[in-house]
Amino acid sequence: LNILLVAAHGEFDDATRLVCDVVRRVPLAKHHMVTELDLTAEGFQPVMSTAERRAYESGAPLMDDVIARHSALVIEADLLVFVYPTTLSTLPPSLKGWLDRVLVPGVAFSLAPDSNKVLRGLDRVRHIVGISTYDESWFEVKRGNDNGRRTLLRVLRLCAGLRTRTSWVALYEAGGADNTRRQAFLARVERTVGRL
Amino acid sequence: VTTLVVVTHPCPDSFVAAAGDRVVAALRTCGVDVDLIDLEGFCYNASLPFPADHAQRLTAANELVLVYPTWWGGQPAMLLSWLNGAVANPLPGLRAVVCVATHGGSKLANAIGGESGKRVAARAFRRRCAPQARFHWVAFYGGDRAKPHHRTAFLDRVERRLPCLVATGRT
Repeated sequence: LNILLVAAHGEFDDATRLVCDVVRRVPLAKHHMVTELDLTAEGFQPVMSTAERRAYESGAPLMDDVIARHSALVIEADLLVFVYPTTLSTLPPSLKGWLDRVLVPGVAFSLAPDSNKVLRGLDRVRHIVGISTYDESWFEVKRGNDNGRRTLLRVLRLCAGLRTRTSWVALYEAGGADNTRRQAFLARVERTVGRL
Repeated sequence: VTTLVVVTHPCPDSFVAAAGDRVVAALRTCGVDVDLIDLEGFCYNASLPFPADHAQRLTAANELVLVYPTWWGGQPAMLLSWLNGAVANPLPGLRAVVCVATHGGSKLANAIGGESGKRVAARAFRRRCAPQARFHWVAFYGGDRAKPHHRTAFLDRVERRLPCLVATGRT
């Protein structure tokens, strides 16, 4: 299986880096292929330009080299794994920009020519996994609607096949987490990824 | 006391930009002091630190109006990174947050998707404003299949609603 790992790291965030190490390592034992897109290291530009938006609306999205490479990986992926620290109760701008720019018509969905109805395009994706660290407690995250999780496991899920499964692994109050809680979190990540 | 209007869309001739123009025109007609930030015209760069003059204008504002398209259930990356910069300091002066948001999908599709954009503004962002800050939602749904008269009706609704929303907070 092709696993696509999309990671956006915070500035001083080693938890998400440790998670990525686990996600890269574990599936190899089962001979799956893991491709990693590290948006922070790549310096991914999240903002959609005017020319890009006009092309998007015309139905023939404009793709520079980076976007073309990323979208080719999305089309070939069987599993999508997202790793990021939650900011403002949702995805960090770099990952949100990745959704905006890479998952364009023809990659993640398409519009029916007669009715403009959205048709799903990620039929190949079997499982969507989200792994995130939060500054807030479980209760505060739920009260804030857990927007990053909703975006990935619901909005993006609607573009995938009907039998696509979803998983979520979270570390709440990550700033104050001691070593035991962090190890337990990494163990949960390892279990979830190992089951794929 | 000003009302800060932040408009985000890559294309200056878009429906969102037209909604932004109507917001500004409607508020100015009612004598509201409007301060406009067009993130696109400003070429706001997400990798740079939050501009100091934007922070200053936020402090001076009594209401914040966000005008944006909904992409993947939420604010575009540019507005999201602006909001992240804006909440770096608390905003006790902001007494109302108004979202004027357009959606390609229907109300039902967005409800299933969890209305992330609405909740980010109404909960996570509003928590950083004044304790009793109000939140107002003026939304256009079903843009993918909308007819021109739906769009005109929405622009008229924006023009009617915005002055009331700003005025109620000030009396």
